[in-house]
Amino acid sequence: MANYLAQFQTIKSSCDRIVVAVEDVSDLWLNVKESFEQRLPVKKACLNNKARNPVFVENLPAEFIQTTDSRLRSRFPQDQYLFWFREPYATVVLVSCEDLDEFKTILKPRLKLIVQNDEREWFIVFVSKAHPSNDQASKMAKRVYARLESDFNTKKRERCCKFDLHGPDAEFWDDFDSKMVDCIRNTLDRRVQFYEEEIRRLSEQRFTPIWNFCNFFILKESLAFMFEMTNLHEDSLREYDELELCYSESVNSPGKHREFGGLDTGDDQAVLLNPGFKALTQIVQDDVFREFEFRQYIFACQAKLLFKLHRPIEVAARGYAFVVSFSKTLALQENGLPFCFREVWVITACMDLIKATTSHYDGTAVAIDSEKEFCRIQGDLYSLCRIKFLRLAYLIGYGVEIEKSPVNSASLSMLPWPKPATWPSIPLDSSAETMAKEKMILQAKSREKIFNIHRKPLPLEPSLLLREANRRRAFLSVGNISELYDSGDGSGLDANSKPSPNKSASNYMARTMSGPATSETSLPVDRPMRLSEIHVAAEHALKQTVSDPNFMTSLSSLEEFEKRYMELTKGAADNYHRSWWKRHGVVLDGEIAALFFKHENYDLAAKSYEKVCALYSAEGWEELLADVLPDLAECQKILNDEAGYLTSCVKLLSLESGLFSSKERQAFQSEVVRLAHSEMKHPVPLDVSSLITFAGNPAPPLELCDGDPGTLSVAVWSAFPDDITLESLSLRLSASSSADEGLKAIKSSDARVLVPGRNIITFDIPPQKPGSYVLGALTGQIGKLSFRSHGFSQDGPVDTDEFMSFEKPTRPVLKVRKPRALVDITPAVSSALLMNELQWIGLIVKPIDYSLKDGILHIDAGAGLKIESSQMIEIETYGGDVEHVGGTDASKTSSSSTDTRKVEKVPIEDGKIKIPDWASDVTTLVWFPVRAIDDTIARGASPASPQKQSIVDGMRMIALKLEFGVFLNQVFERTIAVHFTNPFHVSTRVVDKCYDGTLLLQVILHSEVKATLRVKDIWLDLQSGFEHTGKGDGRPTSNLFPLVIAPSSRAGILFVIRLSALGDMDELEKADSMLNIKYGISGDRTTGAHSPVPVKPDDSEELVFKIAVKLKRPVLDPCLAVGFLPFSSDCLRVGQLVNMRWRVERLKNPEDASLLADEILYQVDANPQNWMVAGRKCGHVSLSNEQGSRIEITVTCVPLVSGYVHPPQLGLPHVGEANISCNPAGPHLVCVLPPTLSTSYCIPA
Amino acid sequence: MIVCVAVVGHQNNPLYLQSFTEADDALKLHHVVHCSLDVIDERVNNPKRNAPALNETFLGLLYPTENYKVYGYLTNTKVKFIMVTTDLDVKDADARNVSYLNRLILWF
Repeated sequence: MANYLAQFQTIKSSCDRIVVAVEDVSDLWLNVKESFEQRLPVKKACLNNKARNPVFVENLPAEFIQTTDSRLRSRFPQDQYLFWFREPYATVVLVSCEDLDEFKTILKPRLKLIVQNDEREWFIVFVSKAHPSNDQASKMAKRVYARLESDFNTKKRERCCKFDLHGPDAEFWDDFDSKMVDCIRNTLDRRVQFYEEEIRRLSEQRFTPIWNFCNFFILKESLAFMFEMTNLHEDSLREYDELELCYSESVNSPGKHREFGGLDTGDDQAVLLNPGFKALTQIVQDDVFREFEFRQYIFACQAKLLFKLHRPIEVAARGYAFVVSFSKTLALQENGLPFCFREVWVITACMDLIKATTSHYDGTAVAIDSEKEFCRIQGDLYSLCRIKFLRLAYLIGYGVEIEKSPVNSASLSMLPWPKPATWPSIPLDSSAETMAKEKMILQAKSREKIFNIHRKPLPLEPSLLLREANRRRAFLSVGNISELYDSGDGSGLDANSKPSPNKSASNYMARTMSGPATSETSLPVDRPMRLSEIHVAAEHALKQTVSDPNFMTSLSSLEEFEKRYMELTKGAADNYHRSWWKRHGVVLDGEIAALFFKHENYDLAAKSYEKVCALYSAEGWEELLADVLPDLAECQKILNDEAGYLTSCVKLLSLESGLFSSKERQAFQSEVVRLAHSEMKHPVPLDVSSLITFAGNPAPPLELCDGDPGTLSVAVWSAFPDDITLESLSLRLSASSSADEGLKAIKSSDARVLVPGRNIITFDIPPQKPGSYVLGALTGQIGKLSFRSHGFSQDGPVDTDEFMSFEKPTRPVLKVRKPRALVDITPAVSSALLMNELQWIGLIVKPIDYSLKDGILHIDAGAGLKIESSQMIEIETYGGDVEHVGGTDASKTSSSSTDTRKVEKVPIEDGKIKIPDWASDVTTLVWFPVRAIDDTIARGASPASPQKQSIVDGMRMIALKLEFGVFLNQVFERTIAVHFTNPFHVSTRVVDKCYDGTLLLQVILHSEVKATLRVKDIWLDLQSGFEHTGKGDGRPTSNLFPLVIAPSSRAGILFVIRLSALGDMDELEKADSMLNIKYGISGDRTTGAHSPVPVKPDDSEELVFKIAVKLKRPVLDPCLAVGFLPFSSDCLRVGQLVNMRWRVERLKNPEDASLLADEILYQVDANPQNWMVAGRKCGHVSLSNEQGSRIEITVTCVPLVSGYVHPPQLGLPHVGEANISCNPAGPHLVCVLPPTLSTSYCIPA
Repeated sequence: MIVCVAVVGHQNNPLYLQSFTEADDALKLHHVVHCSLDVIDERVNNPKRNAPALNETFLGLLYPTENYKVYGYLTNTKVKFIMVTTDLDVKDADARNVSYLNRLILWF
């Protein structure tokens, strides 16, 4: 069957659509051909797939071929079965007949003959030639067609349709299409079944000696091809997948050695997308295909179907997997393949896949996930291609130009060298090339990194190329190799090309064997190759391998290499950026940046490096960052990007200290300091959060009262390697309740130099608003540069893992309490003190959880109060449990302190007292002497002059102001009222009037203070008009004294007086008697009034209290009597005139000369609202001076209001009240009735 | 041969990285581990595409290249254990049972 392979190939290539045979019975084809072919391709066909499920296929390509056509006639029957896929899938029988008899006799038997072949799927198209206008013909045609239908249609299947030549209707075409599709479907099903059975039969023979893969392949591919022709691409793809699987199993099965392939010219170029690249007959060997070609062929077929299925993403994914796995296969076969065949094949395969899939990919119609997936695979393909390209470039000597980055090292240093059977030897006459390579190696200079950073370059080779190449030269013994390198040095070529400073040049030469070019042009057989020679040999061998001349162009010069390198790297990076694999993309950006840097395109290099650094920095990959950040810094330095450069230097400093040597770190710092002190064009605030971090104390937060300043100490860690001098350092606090940093920066007064590690900095905090505060930011200035740090460190040493935490600390460092009472000052005594005497006033000064240290108490005595500044102020501890032992004499208390009680005397200056230190935290009593001044003379109360005493009179105000706090910033103000009073309240009354004119005057002393009063003497200085009886001086008997009056109690003293001759009346009225009381007081100052403070040491304790007592002479003999006479009528009415009558009678002759006149002035006093006086209100009446003479005064009045009202009063203005006796004696009321009802306006009935 | 074992934090920050190569080339393994986070991110963020792998913490082969393989293990706390091996014939089950990795995970 393998013989059919060529034929199969030919048939397959010539057959691209299914065939529908046309059996033209009535020579009608030419008439209908055009309209029939217009129906192709079949717009919509419902076919069954391999699993017998209906599948709708669109635009099914098909071709009408007449059965008489040579293409169908020339086939042999056995060919028909073998290549059944190309046989017609349906047969259309075209007939026409206008006569029923003709149909019966001629056409029907012929048709029966045609359709008797069961193998064929057929249907009859009856073509009616009758014109629509010709009814006869039309009827006949219908009858014939009806007969045709009855003869050839069955119940199960209709096989006839009628085509009107003069205008077929739309229904016909639907009918035609459906019948044709039915036929195709049935044929397809039958053939699929046939092939399946054949394949199954062959598969059963799989492990028998007669098994032949070629036969299996032809059947399998026939089936696949049939599916492909019928647009059942999924099924076709499945067949190819199965074929690939089967091939893999058979090719991997142990057996005889098979050729791998890949040795033909052009095989180095992958043909993953061109199934027809090689004829299958060329690659078959002993009924099995060569693996190299066949696997590519299968993949190409799969890719073709996938593209037809619009699945370029799958092509790319399968392609990448195929390339990787096939590369491994190539590696196994490397012995028999040309030098670097594998690398070249991978490169071309990747590029082909990239190109093809990109051209087929329509990014607009795919889901975002699929697009990302596609880009990722494209990136992978580019990346794989890039690695292989780098490997080739390295082999031919461009290794010195390849960046020794982690990505390149990871790719190349773990990628094994090519393993040819023998390493290519140096061709003859290649000395010039060797010289050139030699020169390239020697001229390659390792780039001096900024800050003199020295790092051992990362390897780009899995093992020393020198060793590998020479080892693989079959004719060399390994022993000679030892001359070439130091076996102890594991470094590769890179180490050689970039000698470390401590290696001598000679050593370097010897190791690389890259000494000055010698005149040698050919290699002695036993001499190992030098590196340059290895490169030359590799290049020559590669040229032999590569069949595409364009391929080598990219390796022909350094420029071309770099161009290609850039193209591949960019391709990979761009695609990775569009995929999920951002890190891959960014890392490759770093490679692009390195190339830009090399070509002094610093601007673009910096941009790419920034991306790389940002990625590493964000995720904390410091080792990788340390590798690339110096490059960015160098770009920025060259570009004069001071801000960027500075930031980079700070970042370098903030990296883990182990990543750089201390010298390097010092270099970073000196750059920072240099820039900070230089004139920067655009000075920007520098963020040193990673470098200078700070934390509050681990202790509880500093608590301040509202308005208090404080001192906050903050631990600041400096990650600078050396001391750093700061121009200033400030701290911002932010309120934990609000987001804004609404506070001014708090400057630190000290700390100009930060030492490496921990520094404790103190900040003076001015008074803040109440609330709790967390550390906000640390700002400061280095040179002319302001910096800012948000780096909060944990409370630990620098070298812990948790050194840096950018999370805002939640623990407050400062709490400012809401305003509250910090101190309370209350008067110690509430009872009254002695007026006009020096008295102690006690103040209880109670600090409320707040120190009053250095506090100053201002005492401002108000009006009527005087502080005795000559006296010392006494301050003593106060406590409820401390029993006061202070006696009446405060001076007795000493300043000696006991455990429980302490007393101190302090001076008062300008009304200020300084609170002693010991009293700053305890409740104290402050005693200070004051004197309330009252110039008025106290007056006693008597029935004649009842005295109303107001408590306000004795009130005195003291304004207190206590300044305290650290900076006396806290102020407490209070005004307290102190009550002063006289020691006694005195009231007098005449208790009895004796017949002899003696009056018993009782003086009642009422103690007004909460102290015991001891009256030692009392005497009464009487006013004129009174005198003491006998010869006494107005003192009670002496044995009465001392008279002790307990608090709030009373004592009465009787004085016996009598009236004396009257003096001047006015004087009599004005003068007061004076009661003098000599007394002593024994009271406690903590209770109330007490013994006055002695101003001088010899001050007597006796006190004298004087009080004025007004005595009134009794009215004993009035000289005039005024009597109110009864009214003439019974009742008074409003509006009625009434006569008021008074009788004035002279009782005796007046002694007073002024009263001797015979005329008396009278005056009627009436309330004008109640009374209207008709007539004169006042006047003179004559009254004889003789005793008993009388006169009556009548005044007519009209009452104005009803009710009980006071009647008008008659007064005698010129006569003193004492000389008038009234009847009735006091005021009285009269009843006034309302006016009588008036009927004037009443209408008679 | 296992050339590198790394523990990566939940914010993709390296917590621990140990390379087992003789040469002073740990940086390239840093790169490999760092880039393999792309794959872990992809698998975690696109669970549909990798439904079978999501059921367990062992992520399997992350990063097959011609030269080395990267295996991953993701804990509930999003801490990743990453192993780089140059042994290309290693099977998933072998990687799963790597005692070193298991010990590391237990230790965590």
